[in-house]
This record gives sequence, C-alpha cells and structure tokens, in this order.
Amino acid sequence: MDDLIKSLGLSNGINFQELPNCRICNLDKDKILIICSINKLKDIDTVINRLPGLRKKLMEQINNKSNRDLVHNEKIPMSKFLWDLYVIGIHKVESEDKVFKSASISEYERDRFIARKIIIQYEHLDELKDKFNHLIFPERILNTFTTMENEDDEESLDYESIKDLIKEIDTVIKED
Amino acid sequence: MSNDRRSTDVKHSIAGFYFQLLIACKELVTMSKHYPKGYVGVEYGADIRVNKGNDRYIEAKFYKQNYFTRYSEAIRHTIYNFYHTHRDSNSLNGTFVINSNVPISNSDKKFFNDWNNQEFSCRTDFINYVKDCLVYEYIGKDAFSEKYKTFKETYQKNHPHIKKPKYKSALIKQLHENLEEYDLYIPNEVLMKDEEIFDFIKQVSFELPEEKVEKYDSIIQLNNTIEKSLEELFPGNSQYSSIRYLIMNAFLNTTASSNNHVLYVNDLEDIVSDHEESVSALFESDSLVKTMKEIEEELIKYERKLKKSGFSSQLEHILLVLGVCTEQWIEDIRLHGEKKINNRFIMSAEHTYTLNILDLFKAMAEISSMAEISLGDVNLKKLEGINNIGFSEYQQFSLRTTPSSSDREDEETLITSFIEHSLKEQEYLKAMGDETIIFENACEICKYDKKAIEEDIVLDIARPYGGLAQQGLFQSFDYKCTSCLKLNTHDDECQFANNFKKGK
Repeated sequence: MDDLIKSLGLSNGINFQELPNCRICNLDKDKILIICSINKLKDIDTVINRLPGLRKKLMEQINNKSNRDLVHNEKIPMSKFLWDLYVIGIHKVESEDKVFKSASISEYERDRFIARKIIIQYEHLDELKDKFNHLIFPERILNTFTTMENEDDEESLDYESIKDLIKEIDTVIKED
Repeated sequence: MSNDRRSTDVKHSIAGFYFQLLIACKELVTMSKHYPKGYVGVEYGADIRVNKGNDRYIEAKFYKQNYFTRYSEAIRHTIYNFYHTHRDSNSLNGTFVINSNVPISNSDKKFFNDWNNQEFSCRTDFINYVKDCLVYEYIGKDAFSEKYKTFKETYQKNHPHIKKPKYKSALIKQLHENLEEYDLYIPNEVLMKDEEIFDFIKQVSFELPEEKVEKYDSIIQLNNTIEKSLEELFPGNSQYSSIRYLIMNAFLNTTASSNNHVLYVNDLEDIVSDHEESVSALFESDSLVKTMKEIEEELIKYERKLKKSGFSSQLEHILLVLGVCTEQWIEDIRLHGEKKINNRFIMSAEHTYTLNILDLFKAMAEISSMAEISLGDVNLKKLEGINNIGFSEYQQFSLRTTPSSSDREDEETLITSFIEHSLKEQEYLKAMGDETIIFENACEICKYDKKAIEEDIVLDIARPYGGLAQQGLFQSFDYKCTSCLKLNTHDDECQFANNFKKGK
C-alpha cells in the first residue's frame, strides 16, 4: 500500500486503524484524499460510515496553521470541506469477472452522502497512475507542457506554437 | 373477487399464521384416536373449532382475540352446523353446547346470558339471529351467490359515498327490517318455521369463561405432542415434522377453499400416504415455509433458553408477543415482499437476515413481560412515521438492526449507517421527527451527542444548507438500544428500560 501511495506521487499518507486498507493523504494541500484499496463496492460504505466518527482524529491532522487561517474558528466541521474530501476506491482487477459494472460504479460516484467518491479500476500500475492523475490531479498533466513556463516573456509568444499547443491538447482529449 | 371475501380467497403462507395452524394440527392429531369422526376448522387469523364428531359439542378456541361477538365466525358456523344436525335428527330434547376460551364482548353479553338462562323476552331476536347465521353461510354458496351479488350492486348504487361498504352487515340489517326476505337467502327446505327454530334455540347452551383463559401453548410442547400422536397413529415413520408441515398446509388450504372448511380425522391418512413428494413440492412452491422453518427452530431454542435461565413465569407473555410480531411480520412480507419489509428493520444488508429481525422482537417481548402494567397489544402495522412496532397502550418505536459488525463498532458509525440507510430507502420522507430509534445491542448509543450530526455528518456534499433541515430531523430522533431491555442484560438503572416497565 505504501508503495502504491508513493507511486501515485503522494507523500505523508497516514493510517487510521479504524480504516484498514486506507491511507489519508494530501492533508496539507487543498484536497483531502482517502485512498482505499477495495475488493467490492460495499467496502466504500464501510469507509463512508466510519468517517464522521473519525472527524476528531482527522481534525488533529488537518489543524495546521495554514488550514486554520482559512476558517473562522478553531473547529473545522466536516461541512466546511465538503467538496474537498475525496474517498477514492482503487480496485485492482485480478480477473475479468471481478470488474465492477459501470452502472454500479455510477451509483456510488453520484451519491453525495458524506464525501465525493471516485472509483478507479486498474490492471497495471501505469494504468492506475494515468487514471488517477486524470481524475484527481489534471494539473499534473497540464504542467507537462513545458512551453507554458515562458509566460513572463510575453513578446516572444509565438502564435504558431500556441496553435500547435492547442492541437496537442485536442489530441490528448481525443485519446481520452 | 369481492371485497369482503378477500381475506379467505387468497392462499396464505403457513408462516403467516403459524401458531394457529400448529394448535389446529395438535387438536386434530390428538383426538383422532378416540374420535374418528372428529374434525377441526380454522378461520384465517382468528379461531379454531374442534368438534369431536357428534356435532353436538364444539370448542371454539380464539387464539388472538380477547372476546367474541355474536357474529364471530366460530360461533356463526357452529350454530349453522348445530341447526342442520338438529333439523336432520328432529329431536326435541337434545343438547348442543358451545365452549369457548374467551368471554363474550360487552355488547353481546346480555344476548348470550339471556340465551343461557333461557330468558327469551324477545323471541324474534333469537330466531333472527339463527337465520342470520344461516344467511352468512348460504351467501357463500353457489346457489345464493348471484342473489348476494345483486344485493351488493344495488347497495353500492344506493350508497355511492361509502368507500368500503360492509355488505354482510348491511344485508343483515335489511333482512331484520324485511323479515320475509330471509327466504331469498336460505333454501326453502332448510328454513324451518319460527316455532321450530325456537325449539332448537332452547337446546343450545354456552360454556364461557368470565375472562380469557390465557394459555399460550409452548411450541416445544405442541411439537412434541403432535409428533408423539403421529407416531402412535402411524408407527414406523421417521418424518413426523414433514407430516406436520403437510397437515398445517392442509389446514391452510381449507381457509382458501370455499367448499371445504374443515379437516377431518380421516383426512390424515391421505396426507401421510404420499408425504415425501408432497413435502418437497410444498417447500418448492412456498419460499416462506423455509423462512418459517428457520424461525421455528430459533423459537424452540429460545424457549429452552428462557426456561433454563429461570424466566419460565414470563415465558407465556414473551412467546405471545413474539408470536404476534412474527405473524404480522411474515404476513407483511407475503403482501409486500421480503426486501421491502425487512428494510424497515435491517440496515446495510443485501440479504435477508431473518434471525436478526427476530432478535429485535425478542427484546420487545422481554421488556414488555417485565412491565408492571399492561402495555396493550403489540402491533407492527399502521404505525406513525418510521415506527415499525407499537404497543396499543404505550408507545411506538422504530427498531433497527444491522448484520455488519463494523457498523456496530462505535456509535458514530452506527448513526451514520442509519442515516445513510434512511436516505437511500427514502425513509426520512415518512418520518415525523421525535421517533425513538432502538438499535440492537448498541450500549453507548444513548450517550451519543446528537450535535455531532450537524457537525460531522454531511448529508449531501452539494447542498451545504439544504442538508440542515434533514440534519434537524435526524437530531430530533431519540437513539436507544435493546441491551437494557433484555432479561439477561437488563439494567435497573437504565431510564429508558424503567420508563418502559412503568408504561410511562
């Protein structure tokens, strides 16, 4: 699990004994990710139902100076981070018959109780990384376009190269 | 299908009125040795009639009601049978006796007391009553059903505003006003002259208790008695419990059949003869029989455990409450489907956990047996809000259980799981607020700080404000658990349990 978290480019994942097979990551950034390795969709329910009871524990982790500046009191209720709490169920598909049906996945992903839920199924680690970045950190993909680093130097903007860039983006989208 | 006969036209599941069928079964097999002409009749969910074969003495066992009225099926039907026996024998000094385990309702007390004391100040009342009993029977028979149908149509036309017309009592009322119309509903050759009917009336008497003889039969005992009697009757067989199911099912069939209302002693022979095939067919055709079998096994274990733990004195009450709950629950399943009904009790489950639900009923039965005053009848139907059990003279509650051990690990998770379930099943739409939710064994739940519902539980991440009303609803519930309500884990300090005991 730790290796998996590392390969997704996440550090400081913490582990609560109440949530086995889960790591809470990215606490010092804008999104709180709860990454869970799951075997069946029902496992998500167990995680979700446990979360409210874990608020205090989570808070201890979230209550760093930079986070606290953004809210007005000492306490950060769950409702203050609403959209920013992600429960990400990752499912390594061992055989074809174990694949979750997309209809059942949608049922979970569209449900808005407690937290956003995202379910990623994968066979290889690369596939997982790709899907993960697409869904959770699209900016990572954007950052790979090196030309954007020149933004200070407005005059050297070459409209031809921007056109090329747009084409490139189009291709990326189509590939998706 | 007409409205008023619906309850008997549909084939019910054994499970729906298990205890009644079990008692009927016991009555039939135990008398079969000495009374080869005897028979037993059951009326769906109501009474059991035992006749030992001479058609002059009948025991009417009301197993749920606390009293009977003049139009109770057992009494009406018995009068009908006695009438025919009398007419055929034409004897002037015979006796006919109706014995019952429950008293007469207050409204009919005078009527039957006068009858018993042979004080017939108004003869017509009694004569009409006997005719009424005949009418009730004959309108169910082919020859008169057409006339009855016409009556119903006319009645409906004249009373369009009545949503659920009581046709039978309307008919009786009309007959009392137009006595000559009795001819229309009773065959000529059957209807005797008023004087002759009065001779018959004088021969009928009643043996009735002042109060209900509350004897709740032990399931273990009933089963043992039945199987022992079967062994005597049909020695060398090993499948007595299968045969018992078949007899119970045969009784069930009589409640759905329009021409065969009773089971005779000599019907037993046929049932036993090809029981092996019949029993497997029965289990295949009725999935609730399986559920009932599972429940029955559990109830037997439970009865033993209660006895062993020294709770014999409360046993009767406990099993009565449990029995009523089980029957109403299974009856609801039959009408609305297993999933829908069980979802009212069980959370986080894809399968039906029959025995988990039974545990909830046990807790209710146990605490009500400890109550100092009667909490009234227990009932699972027509309750307010999201309640799923109620005591007629106390309160209603919403019972919940979950097979998931992780749900039960701490209070926060349990409440979250409850809220999730309520949202998913859209139960919150029915809730009134202020209901008391009783969870199975959740010791710390009464200490749960409901403020956490608004602080910690996000009902809908997309509607931070819309959720407030719903959070308020979930905060309005009282959250309790069954631990202190049970005999074995009873807590004298628990306020909730004490209120229950005092009926407060």
